Amino acid sequence: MGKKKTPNCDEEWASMSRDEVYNWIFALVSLVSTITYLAILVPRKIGAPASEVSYVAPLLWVFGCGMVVGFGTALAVRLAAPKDSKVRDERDKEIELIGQYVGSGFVTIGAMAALVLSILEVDHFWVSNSLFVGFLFAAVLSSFAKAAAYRGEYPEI
Amino acid sequence: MSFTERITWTSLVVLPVVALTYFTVVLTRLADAPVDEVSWIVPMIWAIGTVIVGMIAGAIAQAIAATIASGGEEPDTEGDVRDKEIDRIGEYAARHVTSLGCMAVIVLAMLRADHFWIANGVFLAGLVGGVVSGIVKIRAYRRGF
Repeated sequence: MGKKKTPNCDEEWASMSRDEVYNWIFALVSLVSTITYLAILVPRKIGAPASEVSYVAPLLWVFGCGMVVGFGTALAVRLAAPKDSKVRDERDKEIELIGQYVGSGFVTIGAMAALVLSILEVDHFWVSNSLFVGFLFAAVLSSFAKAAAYRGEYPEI
Repeated sequence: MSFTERITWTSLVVLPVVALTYFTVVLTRLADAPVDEVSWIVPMIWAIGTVIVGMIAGAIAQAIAATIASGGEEPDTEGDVRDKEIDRIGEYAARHVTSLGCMAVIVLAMLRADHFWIANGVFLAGLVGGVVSGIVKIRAYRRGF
């Protein structure tokens, strides 16, 4: 995040709006959270019936740590950013909308899966995880779509 | 009024009507019986079906009306840049509402609440999200954004 002392990186840093930096933090945190959660969950599920897998603690930990690390880093960036750095303009708002639009499909898929699963009275393990993994995928997809949009690759929607 | 704005109005009629009917039926049943004995699945499937059929029928009716009004010319159902922008703004608002609702549902599922509450929580979150999106879009159409 612009820590290197080369002039090039400083220019890069200066050209990024704070929203873009926040988005990179969010992208990395959501990617790491997703990988961590699935790495904990999948081995636990293999060979065990759904009703016996303990997923609540990992889910809460991943969610909590993601929030703390994400907001902590964002706060650090906020404090370290040059005083005259750009905060937010029209382009940031537009990219925010596009990013959320791209990711929202996964929230919808997760919610619809949860609805069908609970109509079929499937174990709560699957219901919780279809929703939660839907959220994680949406976060990863929308933040990376936003990162790409900042670099000039607007997705066609 | 653009075609997409008319469709938004259609959703603002269909969604509240279906939601009110569905929850009246289910909550009346819930008042008379314990949660695990309430039969809500058939009403919910009817409700979802009604929303889908209602929206399609609404769109067809609007398209026919627009074609007749313009003297046989095919209406622009795609929408222009402004329609797309408004669509994004509406979906953005809806997503926040639906996401909050779904987070509450995750908590219910972690607490192993009856499937009745989970399914109806998701359903309610979706319906409220749809209505919020409609209201935000109409506001944007009428008052600018």
